Amino acid sequence: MQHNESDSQRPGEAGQAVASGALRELWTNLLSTPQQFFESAVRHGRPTSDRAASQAVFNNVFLHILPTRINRHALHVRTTFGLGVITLVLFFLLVVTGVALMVYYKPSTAQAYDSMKEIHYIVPTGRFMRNIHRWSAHAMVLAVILHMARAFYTAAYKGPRRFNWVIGMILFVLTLMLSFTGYLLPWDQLAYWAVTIGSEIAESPRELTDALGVTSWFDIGGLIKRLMLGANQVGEEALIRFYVLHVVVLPVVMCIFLVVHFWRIRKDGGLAKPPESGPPESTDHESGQQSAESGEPGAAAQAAALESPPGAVGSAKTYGLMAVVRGRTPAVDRSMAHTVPTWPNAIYAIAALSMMTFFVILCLAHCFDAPLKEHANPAVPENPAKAPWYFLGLQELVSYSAFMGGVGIPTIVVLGLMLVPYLDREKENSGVWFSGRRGRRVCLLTALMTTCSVVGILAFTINFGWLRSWFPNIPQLMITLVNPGTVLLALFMGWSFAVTKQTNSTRMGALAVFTCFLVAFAILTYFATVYRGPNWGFYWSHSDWPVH
Amino acid sequence: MMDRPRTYRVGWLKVVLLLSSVASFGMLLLAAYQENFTAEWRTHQQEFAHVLSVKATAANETSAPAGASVKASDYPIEIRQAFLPEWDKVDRCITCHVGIDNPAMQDQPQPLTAHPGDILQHHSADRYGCTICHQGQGRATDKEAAHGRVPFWDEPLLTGDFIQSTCTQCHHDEEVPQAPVLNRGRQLLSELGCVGCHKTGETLAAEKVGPQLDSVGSKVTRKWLHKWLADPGKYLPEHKMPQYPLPSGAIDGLAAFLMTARDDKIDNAPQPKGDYDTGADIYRESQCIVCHVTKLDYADNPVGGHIGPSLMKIGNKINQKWLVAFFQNPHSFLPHTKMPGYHFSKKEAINLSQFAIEEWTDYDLQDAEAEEPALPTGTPQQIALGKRLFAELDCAGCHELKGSPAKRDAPELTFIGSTPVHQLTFGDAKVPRTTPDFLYTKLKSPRSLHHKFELHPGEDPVDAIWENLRPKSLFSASQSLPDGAEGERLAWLLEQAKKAGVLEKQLALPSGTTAKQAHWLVWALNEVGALNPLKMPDFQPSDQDTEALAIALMSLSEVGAPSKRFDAPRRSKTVFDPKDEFGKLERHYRCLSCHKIRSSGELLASDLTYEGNRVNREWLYHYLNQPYSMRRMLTIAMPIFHFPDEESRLMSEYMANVFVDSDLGAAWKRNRDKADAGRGKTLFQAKGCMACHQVNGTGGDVGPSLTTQVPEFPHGTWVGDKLKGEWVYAWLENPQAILPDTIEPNLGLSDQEILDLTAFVLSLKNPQFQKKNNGDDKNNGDNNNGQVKK
Repeated sequence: MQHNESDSQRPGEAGQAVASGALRELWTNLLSTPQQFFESAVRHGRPTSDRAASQAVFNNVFLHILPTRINRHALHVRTTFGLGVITLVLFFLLVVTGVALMVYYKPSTAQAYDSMKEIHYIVPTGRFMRNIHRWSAHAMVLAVILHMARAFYTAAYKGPRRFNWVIGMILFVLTLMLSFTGYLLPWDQLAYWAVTIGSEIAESPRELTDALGVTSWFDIGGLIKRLMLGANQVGEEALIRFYVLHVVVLPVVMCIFLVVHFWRIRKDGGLAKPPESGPPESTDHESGQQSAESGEPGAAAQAAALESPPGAVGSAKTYGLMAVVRGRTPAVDRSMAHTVPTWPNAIYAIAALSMMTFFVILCLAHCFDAPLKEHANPAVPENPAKAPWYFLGLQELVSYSAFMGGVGIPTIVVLGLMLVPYLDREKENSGVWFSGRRGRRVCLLTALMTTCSVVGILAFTINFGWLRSWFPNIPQLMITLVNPGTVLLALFMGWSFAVTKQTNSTRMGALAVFTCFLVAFAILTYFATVYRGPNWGFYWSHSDWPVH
Repeated sequence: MMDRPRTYRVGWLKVVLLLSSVASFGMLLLAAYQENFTAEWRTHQQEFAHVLSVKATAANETSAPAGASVKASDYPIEIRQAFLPEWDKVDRCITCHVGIDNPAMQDQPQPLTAHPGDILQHHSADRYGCTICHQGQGRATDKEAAHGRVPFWDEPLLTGDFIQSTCTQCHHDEEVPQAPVLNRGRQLLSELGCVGCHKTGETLAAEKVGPQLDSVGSKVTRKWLHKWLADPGKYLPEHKMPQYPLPSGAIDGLAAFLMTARDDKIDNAPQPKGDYDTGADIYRESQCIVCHVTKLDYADNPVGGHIGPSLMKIGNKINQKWLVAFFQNPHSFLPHTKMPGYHFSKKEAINLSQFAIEEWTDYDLQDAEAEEPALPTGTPQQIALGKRLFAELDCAGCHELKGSPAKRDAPELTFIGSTPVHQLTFGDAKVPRTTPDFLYTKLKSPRSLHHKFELHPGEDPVDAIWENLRPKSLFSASQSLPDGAEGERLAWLLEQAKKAGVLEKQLALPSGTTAKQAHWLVWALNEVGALNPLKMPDFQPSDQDTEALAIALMSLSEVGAPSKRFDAPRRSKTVFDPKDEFGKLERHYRCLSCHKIRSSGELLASDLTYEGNRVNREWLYHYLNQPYSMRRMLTIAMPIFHFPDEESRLMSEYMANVFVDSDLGAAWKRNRDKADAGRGKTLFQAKGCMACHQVNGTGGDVGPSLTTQVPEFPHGTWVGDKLKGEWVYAWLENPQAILPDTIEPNLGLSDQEILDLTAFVLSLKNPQFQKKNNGDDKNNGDNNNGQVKK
């Protein structure tokens, strides 16, 4: 850094002196390289002021996904329970361990199972990696569901976040698909038969087309199944398809949607927050405290011209590019009073939560081995053959009607949930759990009603059977339309409409329908996991299963 | 600009971050530590390295030159494995069992010890690995998983003799070397008649092990047949026929049906009357005791052979007329019997039958039976029922009976050993879910591996019970289920069960609801086993036999070597079954029941494979006419068959010319001139031969006497009169090469010593016959001298 002036002043002197000067310089440069490198990479030291902290967040490619200042409400534990961050950490863990496992895994029916054994027994830390991968996958499905429930109950799907809710639903489906495709890869009995069940569910539209008598020219079920398996049954083709989906296609798609999801959080004004944490989102009052320092004045002026009355405080809006966008996006926090700098507050919270998640998964991976049953054997069906746990609720419905349980009801539920933000447009405050006392009561009542009706209909079906046992010759279409699954669905719909009417609030209706689905999902999953035995028969406990 | 206004408190977050980071790092460290240091196999290998260095040091101190001792640290601690791509196996067993191919580790405990026996010398670990024979999970590296005793691994390590069941993957011979229990089990599978009902592939030949029943009605009494079918153990404790759990109605039917299988010629013959004492002489000459139990010793233990059935109570069972016919031509009654055909005249047969009936009758039993009411003759319904039962139970699997072919429709056992465990029906039995346990339990008590019949809600109880009542023949022909109220139908069911003898006559339905009555009926029928569909009888094998059978069944597996390259060489088995005159005689006298010829026959008597090399043909001719015991202590000898002269001539000629190996003892023929009997005599004493063999009354009794005296035998009976030099020479050279199980020691003699000793043995000739046979002596070594001299 130091420039030796005397050297430069005497250029005519012997080159040796010049050389020695340059060498010295080289030496000092070398010594300071680590510091220089660090500075060039981070561009600032440890932030000592709010401004520097904001700068740090703003200038860092990883951190700039966060705003420079964040609403204090967003940092409360009970606002989100950190579920989104947990999901992201799990996804990150899955990618890292997944890549490690890819090195040893061989996607062929002849070698897949053996390679699992190799990973388990001799690949250094292979068993640990696989355990982390497995438990992270299950935990991620759970976290995604809870994250969705959180978003729903705090009305975070409303207003500007409507589309992000839809993205979230897509991510939810992608998560399930990732988990399901990974399920087959070990090529053990569990995998083989779970996926066989899955492929039969995929084929289930045939139940409908058969009933309508159009299968011969419109076999959508068979088509889906063949697309999925590449053959008539689970085998080499299915394995390689699932592998490609699991390690390339779905993760890439997932990443794309994840980026959009995160991007939209920022652009939709951060986390949903109750009114007391800031002025109502409908006002255009903006706080531009920090933007004055870092923004682009021209664009900001443009934005101000579009969005704000001239002369408003802090009219210099930072998100220049966004300024050309119609409407009130991006919405940013208006009140400085409710914000804190992202660095260190949010950064530390995220880091701590990530590390805790990591630690919990490590403990799980250390204590419990991921299951690996016998080598897949198409000749020996598992009995009962159960799908992965998150599909067990559906499998229960599938036992009544394959089409309705496997395709009809899930499609209705997913599409319905996607539609909710567009149907419930009440300008109610987001960020409040259950939208207040009334919502809490509605949810509680709905949960009670759902528990009773689901348990009731299960008990009824087990004791008395369903249409087929009373009218053996009833057409299948009748059962497809009227079965415990559809009855429950209709009941939930009716209940939600009733709630909407009673409370004169679409938000209450939405709360009711979501609670119905969530509670029914939980009960059905638990029921199918614990009480279903061989031939999908009902057994109070595993010890009552007929010994074979 | 505000300086950090109302900064959110991050202190505790930092603490959480620090703690969870440290904890996570700790977990990672723990994983790394466990991965690299605590694995079980590392400990074993370190121990092994230590033992190696200790042994090396010890070896250096005692003998080795000043070489560097092996340092424990030189031994690499690493995963070791046998990679068998053809078998699709990777066996890491040697990661813990590191000393398996190191004989110096014989004294170490598991897992470091060396493999016992010399198995590894014939089955190198590189080629066969471990799990091909032992099973278990070769890829695993911790003990429980590697031994396969974990969930979801179907092939746990085979324990004990069960390891013999995997030999058959490569060894396709009937006899597998070094697998005695497997061989015994396979023999039992045939002997017990398992293959009569079950198909087992090509390995085991299906043979009917029970007697032919074509004339059983003329042979036995009705009372005996009835009792035998009900409980064979009562008549004969060591019975071969298993007991079938049959209700009395079924036994009545079977007995009635079997009594219709008669032979008119026997029935119409006059009642024989013979002479007991003459019969007794024939009995002794015929050496019946070799094959049959014929008496009890002072402690009531049976005395006699177990090749044929015990004769102890045949007087209570057999019709004398049938016995007379049988003695005259046993093979027409029992084509597959081992019993030789004797040349009994009708008179001799009558006398022998007189002796048999009088000698082997339990008179107490006879008196007791006389007081029992006579059994009524079978009704046509009973006979028809018996015929159906005979077919249902597939009695024809073991017994031949005209008009009743065997069905062999029991579950096929060809691949029972490789059937996945979850396809085996364990029923409610509390046994570990493994194939060996299944087979053992099934054989030991077949009925324990079954679900008890239960009524299921929603089905008609009467229909369900009726469908499942066994044996089916008992019920199928009765009238079909009546309609009516459920109570009436249940009562009707009970009546049917009583009629069939399934339930006691005094039983009645309990009062109460029909559901209660139905459950009671199910309980009662379950108690007597009438709702168990299993047809297999209870063989009640001993623990040892059960294990042998289970092992033999385990060996019936679909799993085999991936290529023929691994197959053990088949030992050619030459069945001795000539179609010539001698063959006819052999089939009549059934020589192979006692003698071995090449690999056929039994070793109850001498091996005749080299008989032409062994004995002087003239001695043989005389011996056939007048057999005697070879050992002083042994009273049993070959039966006196009273061969017609042309038969004994033919047989001795044939044996002398055909049962010959020209290479055997060829050295004797070349070098007999160099032999010296005098030196041989010294050697005879020096080598201690007298300890077992007698010469002129002195010596031991372990081996046969060399100077046996048999009064009135028309030929010399001393060893020199009887044996040929070539055989003696070969015998002394290596007795086990001729008779693998002989206790004659291989003395490791030099060629000259053998020559001398042979000369001495041959010089032991009975002086009384010396002169007479002088001329033959020189011909002893040749095989082609002329006719037998009389």
